[in-house]
Amino acid sequence: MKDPTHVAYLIIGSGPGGEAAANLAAQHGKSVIVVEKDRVLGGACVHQGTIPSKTLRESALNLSNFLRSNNILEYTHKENVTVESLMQRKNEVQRAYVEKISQSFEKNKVHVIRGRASFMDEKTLHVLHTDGSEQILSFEKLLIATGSRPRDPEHIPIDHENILDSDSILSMIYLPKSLTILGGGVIACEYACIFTQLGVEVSMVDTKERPLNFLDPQLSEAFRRHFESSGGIYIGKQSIERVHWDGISKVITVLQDGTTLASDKMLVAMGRVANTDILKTEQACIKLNQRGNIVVDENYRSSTKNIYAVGDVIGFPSLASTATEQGRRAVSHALGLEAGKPFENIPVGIYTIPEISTVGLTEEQAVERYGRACVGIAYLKDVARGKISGVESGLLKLVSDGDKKRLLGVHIFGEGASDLVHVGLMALLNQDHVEIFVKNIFNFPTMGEAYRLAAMDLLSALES
Amino acid sequence: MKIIFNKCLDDIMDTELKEHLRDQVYEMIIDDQLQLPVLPHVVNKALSMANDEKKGALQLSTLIHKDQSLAGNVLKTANCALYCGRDKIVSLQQAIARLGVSLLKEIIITTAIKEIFQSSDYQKEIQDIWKHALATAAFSREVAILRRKNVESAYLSSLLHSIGKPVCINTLSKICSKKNWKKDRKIILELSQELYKKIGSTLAEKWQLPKQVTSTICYHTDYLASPDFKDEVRTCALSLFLAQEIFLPQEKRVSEKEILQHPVIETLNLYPDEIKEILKKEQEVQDLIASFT
Repeated sequence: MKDPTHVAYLIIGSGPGGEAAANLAAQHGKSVIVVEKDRVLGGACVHQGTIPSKTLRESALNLSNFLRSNNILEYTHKENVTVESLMQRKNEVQRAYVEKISQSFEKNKVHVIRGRASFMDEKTLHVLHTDGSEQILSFEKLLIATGSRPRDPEHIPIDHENILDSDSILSMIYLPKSLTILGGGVIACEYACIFTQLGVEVSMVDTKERPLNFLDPQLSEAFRRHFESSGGIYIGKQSIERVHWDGISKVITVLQDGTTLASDKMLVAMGRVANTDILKTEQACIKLNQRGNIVVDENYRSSTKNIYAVGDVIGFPSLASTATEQGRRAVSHALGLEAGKPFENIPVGIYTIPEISTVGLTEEQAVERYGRACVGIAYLKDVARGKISGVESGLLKLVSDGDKKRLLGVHIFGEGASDLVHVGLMALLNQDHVEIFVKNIFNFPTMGEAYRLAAMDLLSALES
Repeated sequence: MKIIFNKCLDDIMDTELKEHLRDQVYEMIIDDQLQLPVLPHVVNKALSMANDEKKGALQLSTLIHKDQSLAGNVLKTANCALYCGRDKIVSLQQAIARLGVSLLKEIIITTAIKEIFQSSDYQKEIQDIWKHALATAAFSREVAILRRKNVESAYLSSLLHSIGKPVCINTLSKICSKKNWKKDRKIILELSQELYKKIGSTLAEKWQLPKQVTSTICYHTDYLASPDFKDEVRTCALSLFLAQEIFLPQEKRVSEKEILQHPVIETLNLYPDEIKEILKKEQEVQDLIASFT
């Protein structure tokens, strides 16, 4: 074993949270080492999650646009279309991202060690390398950004051949004819849309009544309708009795009510678990909650004062965007710097087809907090740009606090939602009133006009 | 003196023979004159059968019933230790129902590919190549499961990584016969080691095999150079290394520590405990070899 190395700041993980934290600490003159388990930097976001899945989504979206613009109603893919062939630019994009991270680390003199980390105590980390050699690192401050991985439910026999998770689904040799997806959350819905657009018969099964049930009900209902009109099936309020390979050619899913589904493949997307199992957190007295996430305070400090944690490993909201900001805030606190006001409005982007994005309060939350709420809705098919593009579904919903007309929330279902939401985000951050969308000018024709239409709808409702 | 002279002459002739054979093969490749085996019809059907709900088991059954040799092999394999439950499988219908389409597809492909690994003059060498291919495929399957990657892709790519070798050996042998050249066993085997990847990739192209198979054929000994399908290529490289070990007697095998030093392990992000899990699967690998040989 090599002699112990001492470092001021140790970061475990090079995903969005770890990258931001490492660079900030180094920019403030600290010696920083990043310990990364994988051979390449970037974490699951770059290699198993966001980048590959969004690249696949791009192919599905292009196909969807092509079919719509040519009024093609039915599409059947070739039998031997590989999933890999639909992600042609994935390698290029991943390489660019990894290069960007490498360059920033090099510029900031952040040192990277490839290995698997585990705690020896509150100030000492053990690192195991792939060749079996070991290393000890001692630190003053440490940040855990180890991310998460797909949950492996006990009663579902995932074999990565016929019953897949969100990691192994991306390396399928061919597109199946039918796919059952277990789960109704973000990952389940994103893949459901992608595969439906690619001509696969998709059935989603979840315990909740509607998919994406944490969203504004109008939005999740709009999504469900669109998904079903595209050929998908959503089966809500059902739990799984049994899943098995039938010994012939199908994955058989038996639901609690006795309904049986048969499909070529299955995707299990029933949540993610924090990567804390190999860290030996108990050696450093780091507290975990029941779900295995690291418990942190408002400064992302764990139960051990010199150890912080950010990103998926601490749980909700498990977004790359928030992980980056959390990493910045955690290191700012560790450095004794002012991090700024805690963020209240975090936009959420869901890359279904079409997209969904929200920021701020839902109508229900607004009523709960303020006693009443007023909403205005614009349907994207009524917006000039929507008509030009042949948009048939999609909506933009504004939520205000009633008479005071202060904007409280923006909820969008429609392609480009994840960009469009930023207009509303800026208004929320400025604590603007909804009239701002009526009294100012938007480019014509653009989807941004939906803000004006929704604001007019809201103001009209108030007047009446 | 005469012996030394004759030996030198022999060496010169051997070198010339090797050069001539090599040139012949390259000419045949360039002129598209290589006599490559036809992709067994059953393999083509099996490869395309994967996701067709209506055809599925019924057509698979028809496929097997039509081919006597295949039917025999399927039954024999279905009854081996690896696949058989408590009860002996006595009919094709039972085999199909018991094993399922996916596993049967794997058996069909493996059985059919095995037919290519046949040669009257070089039976032993080609059988060894076949066993190595099977072992590599079996280890690849275990690596893929551990890494949460697609098992089918890993298995098929590894099974076919050395498909060029038996074809190369048979091609060289035929050239020697046709040209009335000396059929030097040592030279033919050495040259096949040099040329098999080129012939293998030509074969993969002709058979229109999945791209990951072609990449694995071309790059399994130089995995860092692979421009795409790096997972399949690297998985094959590791599995090939592990497969080579299990054919050696215990005392000649490398130690676990030396296995961990293999550079491909780092490229696959595998840690010592994970390698140990894979090594524990040796018996399963041996069972697979036994079932197909």
